[in-house]
Amino acid sequence: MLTTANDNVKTLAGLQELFGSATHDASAAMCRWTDGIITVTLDEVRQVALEEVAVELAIGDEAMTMVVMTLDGQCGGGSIILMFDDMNGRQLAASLLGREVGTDPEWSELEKSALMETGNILGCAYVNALTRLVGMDLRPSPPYFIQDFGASVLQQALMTQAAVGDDLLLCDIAFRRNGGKLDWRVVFVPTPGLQESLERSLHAAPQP
Amino acid sequence: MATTTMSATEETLVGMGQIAAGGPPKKMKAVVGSCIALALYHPRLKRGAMAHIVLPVSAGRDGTPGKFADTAIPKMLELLKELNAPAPCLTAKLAGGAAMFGSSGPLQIGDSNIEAVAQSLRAVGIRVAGQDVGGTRGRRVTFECESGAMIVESAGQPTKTL
Amino acid sequence: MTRRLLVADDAMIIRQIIKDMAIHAGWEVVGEAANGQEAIDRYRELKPDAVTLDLVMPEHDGLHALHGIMAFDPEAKILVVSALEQRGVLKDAIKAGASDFVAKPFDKRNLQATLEQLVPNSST
Repeated sequence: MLTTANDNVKTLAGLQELFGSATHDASAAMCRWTDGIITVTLDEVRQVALEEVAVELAIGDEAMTMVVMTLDGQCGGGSIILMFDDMNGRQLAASLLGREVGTDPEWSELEKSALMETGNILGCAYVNALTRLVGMDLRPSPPYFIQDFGASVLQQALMTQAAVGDDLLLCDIAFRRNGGKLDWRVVFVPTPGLQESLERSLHAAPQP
Repeated sequence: MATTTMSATEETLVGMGQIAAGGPPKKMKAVVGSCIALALYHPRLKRGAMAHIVLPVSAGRDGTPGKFADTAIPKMLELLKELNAPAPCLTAKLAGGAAMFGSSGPLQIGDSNIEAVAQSLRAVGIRVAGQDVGGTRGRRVTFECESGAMIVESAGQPTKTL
Repeated sequence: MTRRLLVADDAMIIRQIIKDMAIHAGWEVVGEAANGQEAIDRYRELKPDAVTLDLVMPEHDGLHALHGIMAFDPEAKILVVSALEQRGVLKDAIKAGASDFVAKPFDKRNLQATLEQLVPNSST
């Protein structure tokens, strides 16, 4: 675990590099899935104080459309949350389905499925990359589709980290279209076990 | 380090593990899922405190007092005492403790939070005047010091006033 | 004779994409399944010529389906189509009887070609 401020900075930089490499693979998968339209980039691996999470991530108190996947393995796991406002989520679903944006207030099963599969492809790409980079075995859950307050969903994903400390490690990932940042995001929340395993791998092996 | 307790300004967002306290016209807001927004209120003096409780018990772990049910309530009593609102007349209202990923989903903590808050309130003899807990939806909670009302909004559901 | 395909994936959009591709390539899509147990049940009922099978599915996953289908029909032709691309998992899938693997997101022509290799069209 993190000890001194200097170690902390080094560890965050190492994790940034590790997740940057995994994000590169995830971006390639996302690009294939969206016919070259959408990519993802790692904005930052950061430590955030528990009470500041929603403010730091600028997650307001509005309802959002989200896809959540949990990862599980012997060395810990984590959660991946894709967050969209309703219109952006529907636009992505429509572009994947090659259709006009749906007008019915209720999402159709096919629209939900398009977003969930986006979560599955992104989540599995991270799992595949982390498995390869640090040699740990991680299994993803099927994706869940949730329409609710972003902060409510995020706080449950943070529970395992909150149980052991007041500073939380988050990977903030941005979606891009033609290089421009979109108002969608992905938050990767590793469990303390996975965090420790990743940190150990940073010290044990050359950087990826 | 961010503050963990604070005097509530006009409208205060109470983040995870934080406690706010104050009187009218202050309003305290929190968005909760598995966490619990707990308000203690003195109806005659119109003084209130709200905590955003994350986990059931501290079990000796370090952390801000508002983070755990068993440490949040003593801290809230202390803050209310500083506002000259003594414990005997206080009532409680609470909302949250949901299972956001469904009842069979991962990372379940909501039920334990509800039980721990109820137990901690019983231990100090504070009556629960209203609650909206459990389920699978998140809640946007606003506590008004003027009226003592706790307004609970859930996505796609009618607003409730406790 | 028309080749008969069973499509097993929890994602409706993926089932739709595979169905469209297969029908266009001359297959008859005889059934769909959204989890591993449904895949076994549909296979026993429909006895298709081939199956496309996802690995990560709710309740019962793709490995469960592989074991169940191979126990019923050791000659079954099962193409794993999954975003999970880990050596250990793929080894388990091949050991359980998977004929081949295509990673998601897939190129439709690649998926079609792999299916053709698995069950060649006897009329051409």
